[in-house]
Parts: sequence; C-alpha cells; structure tokens
Amino acid sequence: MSDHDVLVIGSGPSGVAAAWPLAEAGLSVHLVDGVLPRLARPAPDRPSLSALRQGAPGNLRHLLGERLDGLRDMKGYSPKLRSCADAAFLEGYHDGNAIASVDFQVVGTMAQGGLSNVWGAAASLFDQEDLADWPISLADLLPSYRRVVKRVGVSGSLFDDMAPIHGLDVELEPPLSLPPSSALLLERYDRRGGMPGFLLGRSRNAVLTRPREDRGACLEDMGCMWGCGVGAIYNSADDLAQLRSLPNVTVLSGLMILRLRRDEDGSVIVTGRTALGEERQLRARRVILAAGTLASTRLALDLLQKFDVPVPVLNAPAFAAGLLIPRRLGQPIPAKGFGMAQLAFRLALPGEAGKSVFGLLYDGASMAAPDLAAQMPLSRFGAKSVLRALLPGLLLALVYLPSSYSRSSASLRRSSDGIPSLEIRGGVSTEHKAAVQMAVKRMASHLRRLGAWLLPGSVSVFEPGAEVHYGGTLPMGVATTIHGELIGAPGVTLADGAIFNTLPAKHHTMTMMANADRIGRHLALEAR
Amino acid sequence: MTDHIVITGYEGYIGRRLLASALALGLTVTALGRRPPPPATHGLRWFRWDLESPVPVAALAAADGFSPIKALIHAAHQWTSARSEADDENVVGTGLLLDAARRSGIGRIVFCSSVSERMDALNRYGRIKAAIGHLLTADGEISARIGLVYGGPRQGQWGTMVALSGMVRLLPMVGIRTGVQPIHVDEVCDGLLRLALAPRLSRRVYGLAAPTPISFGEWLRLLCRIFHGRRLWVLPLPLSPILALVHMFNQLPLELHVDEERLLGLAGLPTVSCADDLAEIGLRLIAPDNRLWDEGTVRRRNLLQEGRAILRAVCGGIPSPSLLKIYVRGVERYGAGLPLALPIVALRWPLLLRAVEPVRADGELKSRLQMALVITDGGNFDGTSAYAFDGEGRIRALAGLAWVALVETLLLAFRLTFGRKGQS
Ligand SMILES: Cc1cc2nc3c(=O)[nH]c(=O)nc-3n(C[C@H](O)[C@H](O)[C@H](O)COP(=O)(O)OP(=O)(O)OC[C@H]3O[C@@H](n4cnc5c(N)ncnc54)[C@H](O)[C@@H]3O)c2cc1C
Repeated sequence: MSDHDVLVIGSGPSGVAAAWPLAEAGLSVHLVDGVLPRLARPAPDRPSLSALRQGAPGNLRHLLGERLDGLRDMKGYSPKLRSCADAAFLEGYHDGNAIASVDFQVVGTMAQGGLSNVWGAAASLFDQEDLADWPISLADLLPSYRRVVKRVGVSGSLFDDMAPIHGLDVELEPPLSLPPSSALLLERYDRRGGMPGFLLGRSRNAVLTRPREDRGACLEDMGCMWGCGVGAIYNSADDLAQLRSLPNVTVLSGLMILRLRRDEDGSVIVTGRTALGEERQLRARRVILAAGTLASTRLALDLLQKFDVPVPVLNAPAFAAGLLIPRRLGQPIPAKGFGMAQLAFRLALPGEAGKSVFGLLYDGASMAAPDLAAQMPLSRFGAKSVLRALLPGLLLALVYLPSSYSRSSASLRRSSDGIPSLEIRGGVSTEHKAAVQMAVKRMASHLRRLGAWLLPGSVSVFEPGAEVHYGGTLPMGVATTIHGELIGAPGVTLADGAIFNTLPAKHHTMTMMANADRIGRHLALEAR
Repeated sequence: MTDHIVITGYEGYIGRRLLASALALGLTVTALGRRPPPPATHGLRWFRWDLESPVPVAALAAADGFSPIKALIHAAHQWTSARSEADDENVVGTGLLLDAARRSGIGRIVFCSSVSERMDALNRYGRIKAAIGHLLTADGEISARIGLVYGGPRQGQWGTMVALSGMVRLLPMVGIRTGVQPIHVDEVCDGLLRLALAPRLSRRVYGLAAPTPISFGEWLRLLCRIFHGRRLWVLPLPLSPILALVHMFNQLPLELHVDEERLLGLAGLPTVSCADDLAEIGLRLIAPDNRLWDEGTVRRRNLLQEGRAILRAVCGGIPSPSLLKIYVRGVERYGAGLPLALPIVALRWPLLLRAVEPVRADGELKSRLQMALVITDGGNFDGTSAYAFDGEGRIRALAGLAWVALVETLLLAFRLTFGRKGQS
C-alpha cells in the first residue's frame, strides 16, 4: 500500500517544478525536504546598500547579520554567498548526504528552497545548439520553458543581441534598470553596431519587475547580495508556499532521506532520519529525486547498488575577473540599481569548433568590496584606498566554460558504518587552461574597446564545483530514460541536474526547472 | 623539509588550537576529520575521516611536499554513543586508527587522554579513555593525561565553567572539595607537540596538568573574580543524595536533563602527580590565576586596544565604540579569540602596521586586518564613510591612486622583510 501517488524529495527549483504539474493534475503529492528552514527574508524596509554604507541605522546588523556571521572568512566562496550571513545554511549537506570530495567544491544546503535561497537568478534558456547532444529537442522543452518562465517571473529584453542566446519564445517582465557602468558599456556596444565573435546585452534574471501577490517588484536598492527583502528574486521556497496551498499537496520538512529501496509490490520505500535521529519510512508508487545533483546521484547509485563505478560529473568550469572603466573614476557611486548581474556576454573561442563562453557582468558597487580585495597583494589600507577610488568604475566578470572542459567524476564507496558515501574527484580537461587563457585575452580585448580594462592580477580560476553548475551524472537516454526514470529501478525518476546530457556555458537552473516540469507533465499523463 | 604530523580531532576545543599551533610552528600537518580544517597557506592537507570509518589509505601514505609522518596526535573523541562500552566508537575507531598507523610505520602516537582515565572510573568517559589506554601497547605509543583545560575561546566545558561561575552570587555545587589540576589550552598544545616530536621519551604515560591541584570550589571563585569581577559564594552539597535526586529527576518526563556523567566525572576525579613528566619534556606551566587575568579583563582590554589600532591602520579614522565592539566580537567568534601580541609601537602608531602586514602569507594578523576591512565596508567612522558616494572627481581619484601606488611600492620592501603572521 502506498501512502502517496508521488513523493518528491527536495524543494529546490527542480523539486518544486516537477511537483507543480503533478499537483495540478490532481495527484496526491508529498514533498519531503531537508532539516533546515528557508533563509528568512531580510526586513522589507532595509535601507539601500549605499544608505547602509553611509551609516543608516542598523547598518552593520543588516550587512553582517545578527550574529556577525558575515565576519567569517569568505575566501574561496562565491560573493553571492554573502546573503547567507547565516553560517549554518551551508552546513550539513555533505555529512547528511555522505558526500566527500577531492579537488571539487561541493556547495549544497539542507534548507527548504535549496540553493535558490542564495542563487544569482541568472535565467537563460538553452537553445537548439546547447541541446545538440540531448535525446530531446528544444521543441520538447519549449512549452515547459514557457510555463516555468511565467510562474517564476523573468525580467530581461527580447530585443538586444543577447536575446536570442537567452531565448526568444517566452513572455518576460520589463527589464531592470541599468546602473551607469553597465549602461555605458551597452551604449558603446550598440554604437559600434556589434563586434565579431562577441555579443553583449542585458542579462536575463529571475527577478520580478512587477509586483505579485506574494512577492514584491525589485526595489533596485543594490543590496541583492545580502538577500531580497520583498522576494523579487525567485526562491522556490516562495513557490512551495503556493504549491502547498493546494489540497492534494503535503509537505514534510525535517526528514533527511538516507536510502531508497523497491518493494516487491512495486512501490518504493524511502527511509529518512528525523532531526531527533529516528528513522522513518515512507512509501510511494513513484518517487522523484530532486535533492540536488550530487545528493540525488548518491541515492540513485545506492538504490542500484552500483559501487566503485565512476560516473561523470559535468560542471561548467568558471573564472572571475575584475575590470575597470576609467571613465567612471571619481564619479558618484550608484545608489539605485539591481545588485546582481546586469549584463551578459557570449564570446566565441576560435579554433575550438563552435565553442563559446558565457559571462555575466556585476557592478563592483553592489558587492562586498572587501571580498574582491581579499587577494590583492596590497596592505589592507592600500586595498581600502584602491577600492575607494575604483568602486565607481569597478566591474566583476563571472565567466563560464561549457562542460566539455570538465573531467570530474563520482563513485559510490562502501563504508564500515553501512552508509555508502559518494566520492567526488574534480578535474578539468587538458585544453581547459589554454581555453581560459584565450577567453581572458579575448574578453579583455573586446571589453577594452568598450571602455572597460581588465585589472592585472585579478583573474581567479575557480576550483571545479565552486561555480555550482553541475549535473550530468545519470544522463537521459543512458542511465535514465528520456523521462528521467532510472534505468533498472522503475518507479524512481530523477528531475534535477543529474540527468542533463551536457552543460553549456550558460546557467542551467531554468532548464532544470523546465525539464522537471516536462517530466512532471509526462508522469501526470501516465497516471491518467 | 619540516616535520610532518597527523592530527585528529582538530574540530574540538583543544584540537583547533593544536592545529593552529602546529602550523604556526611550521610543521606540516595531515588533518583527519569530518569537515575541512580552516584553510592554511601551506603544509596542510585534509582527509575525511571519523571514528566510525576506516582511515583513508592515502592519508598515511607518502606524498609530494610532505616528509614521512613523524607522529600522530589523536585528539578526536565522540561524545555521544548508542553502543555498549566495549564497542564504543571511540574504542573501536581508535583501534582501527592504531592499526593503520602501525602499518604505515608511524613511530610516535600521542593519545589525548584525561586525568580521569581509570578502568573503574565513575563516569563512562574515564572508563573509555582507560580502555583506549590499554590499546597503546607498542613502543612510542604515549598517553597524555590531560587535566582541567581552560583558556581560549569560551567553548565546551571551559565556556560552561566561566558561564556557571557568573550565573548567581551563591552557587550550590557538588564536589567543590575535589582537587582539579588546571592547564591552559595552549600549554596542552605545547605539551602534546613536545610529546610528538621529542626524540626519546622515558615513559608511556605523561600527565599534562597542574602539578598542585586546587579545589573545584576555589577554581570557580577564581573564574568569577576574573571574568565577572565579583566574589562568588559556593555552597557545598553532599554528592550521594544529590546523585540520587538527579537520577530521580532524570526519570521524570521533562525537557530538562541533568548530566550525570559530568557530576560523576567530577566526583571521582583522581589527582595525578606529573611534576616529573612536565620536567622531562621541558614544559613549564604558568599559574592559572596569572594567565587568567590576561584572558578576562585584560584580554578584553587588549582586544579593544588592538581593535583601535587595527581599524585605524585600515581606515585612518578613529573607530567608534560600536565598531570596536564588533571587532572584538568578531575576533572572539571567528578569530583565535586572544589579542595578538602587537608591539607597543604598533598600538601607539597603528599606521606602522601597514609596514608589517604580510604580503602573501595568511595568518591571524592578516585575517584580522581583512576583518577590519569588512567592518569598515559597512560601517562608518565618526561620520565619514569608506567610499566617496558623491564622487570625488577624476583628478582626485587618480591622484589618490597614484599616491597609494607610491606608498604601497615603498611599503612592499618592508612588508617582504618584516611581514608578521601575528600570533595570539
Ligand atoms: C551562490 C550561488 C549562485 C547561483 N547562481 C545561479 C544563477 O545565477 N543561475 C542559475 O541558473 N543557477 C545558479 N545557481 C545554481 C542553482 O542554485 C542550482 O542549480 C539550483 O538551486 C539547483 O536546484 P535543485 O532543486 O536541483 O537543488 P537544490 O537547490 O540544491 O535543492 C535541493 C533540495 O533537496 C533537499 N535535500 C538535499 N538532500 C536531501 C536529503 N538527503 N533528504 C531530503 N532532502 C534533501 C534540500 O533540502 C533542498 O530542498 C547558483 C548557486 C549558488 C550556490
């Protein structure tokens, strides 16, 4: 006897996206997620970033957190993780999911809403070329893209050079307003009427510019890195709140899933542990795994009892670089603007047969500037003085390469305590280094022509995994069916990044959600 | 090449300091634990391990950039266990660790035990430690019996003791006549490293504890005087009726639970004689009351003084009291918790700190300066902010940059020569 038609593990973007169509089709859906609550939204009346920096009341409490967690060493973390001033947010995922890694940075959370509590909300779609090695086509995904984009709320432009790269056939919210540095670059780019091998345009963001019932429109107060007080940035925890208001949806928080087993009657038994350490079993006809690529992979390999056989872990190797617009030196620091990526670019890598990198540009004034200066070989006073002078014209580029440059893998290992662990080894291909060098060089030369100069010594190449773009462990058509069902384990479906076939340089979460929606819809049809 | 040691339990109160002191001494360290240790610039690698899992093979094998392992200091202890004492994770896990260490030919193993270790100890902790002591049979396998550890960040038992001593004016307490043998956490680390690295040792068991015990009641009074600045009255309670009461109390279906283990541990605490042990390894302990003055009021005062200097060095302005308080709280929470031993000239003329800031190497000094930078990013100094929000004009910005470039170039020579890591 199954307790539920469908049990979804994980309330991150993919779990919630898979659950919606099932719930709308009237199936009884039970959603289980980890042991932590979502990150609380900051106060909606938090002053703007520039007011805080000029000493508005409560400034340090807002920027460093009640418990001063913002003072912990943030070296090696993405600057976007500033917004989780709560240090506990990132703890527990590794231990709880028995994930160990070498040369690979695993970022995960056991919180409701998953990593969408802190994500950067860059929300492009994949195009036909990106899906070339996938067993499904853009036409299969498009209806789901449309639905997901509508529900999430994505702002951007359909009319600049990057629009075809981000995807055209969707309905968007009006774009966010650009702070002066980005506006300047874009204006110069437009004036040139394009540049060969280089496209620049607005970034596409899962951020509302028009208010909704439960989420406000972007305040453009530059403080996004510290969290959004009105919920303009999409967080699947908000989506979950809507979802659970349907009568056939139940949510169980606080259960750490340990293992899945198939019962003789065909149902799936899911065993989890409560915060008090008690084991609890749930049963469902269908289980959807959406616990984040690595956790889902571990649960799937454990179900198949596939030990010591490495599976690939695809990731989009990334690097960051600082740029300066000399013209902006000495200008006022913008007080208004969106505080995460404002522009996006695509750069072809010549000689690398059709390969390109994808980059985002952030305004330096919207970042915790000291994080940018952490590695400068200057004295801290020197660093502070330099930041003071550069901040009005500082840009940060985050650049991603496609997964063909990654060589990471994961294997399930037995352990003496009977809880198998997933061991991840990070790596990059032999061409990676040259590709990064070429990308840096070409990016620098293109952006220089637009007036932004690469700061010497500012390029830092991320450890694999640190960019948090990974997937591809159990690809569709190989380890799973084209509807995500785990081959060898009927009744168990994966709906997150694990079933990706490749990762282009672009951000992958919107595609993860669209694919999850597609799978959810398929399962709903099948159930009928 | 520098000596290479293995440390387990670096996540705990002693282990954390131990790892920091080993690295500060320039040793290379293999850390075994559940979570990656805080990053160090060099000489530190990490393997995932806990008392319930086997030792990763690569952890004890030879590796590039690391000399052969000289010693293993085993400081890990798992406090909760659902198993029987015979198969307690600590005993089983240590057995596996010992086997692995012996197989890889590690000649010195230092086990962190306790003065309370005894097969017939009243508390499980003491019995478990004793059971592990019996596993140390080969040459070079040493047990360090550690006394009552105090000092450093107020964590674990130490934090509880400081808090307890300040809770009320009149404290009813059991076991106040029991003698305790305090030792500062830095002295413990020093002693453990000496035990790990000494070429020859004459015994198998070393006491790391104050040679002359003081009564537990006296100890609490001392803490109260130093940390809370007042007198504490301690009311002796008889042990056996209290134990009986506690036992009954714990049977009640209440949320609150009194830790019988702790009470039993205190009640059955033996005194170990360790003056000779300390002499042999050349470890001289400083009287706790002397040391503690430094940690209580003096520690805070020094931290405030240091904060004033560090924040000034980074920002130029005079920091407000609220910024200073944030600095001190930050260091207590995310730094080593103790003031850096900054020279008086640096406190007087903070700008000199810019000349001794290390260029590449990480260390306590650098991380505190970085912390100050983070604070000033969001804070403001007597009305001035870290940035020129209204724009300072291109000429001024460029002049500012040129000036910084000049000063920083001149400073570089100093920093390369005098760069300090900063120790607390
Ligand atoms: C700083 C940062 C910035 C990012 N920026 C972007 C961006 O700009 N654009 C983009 O596309 N992507 C971005 N990402 C990546 C994006 O956040 C992830 O791709 C996305 O959140 C993955 O969704 P998911 O549902 O697969 O997993 P997660 O979001 O990881 O959610 C996993 C869920 O599973 C639960 N869970 C995990 N293990 C268990 C278990 N054993 N038992 C029960 N429940 C479990 C968790 O509680 C959680 O609810 C960013 C990530 C980070 C960290």
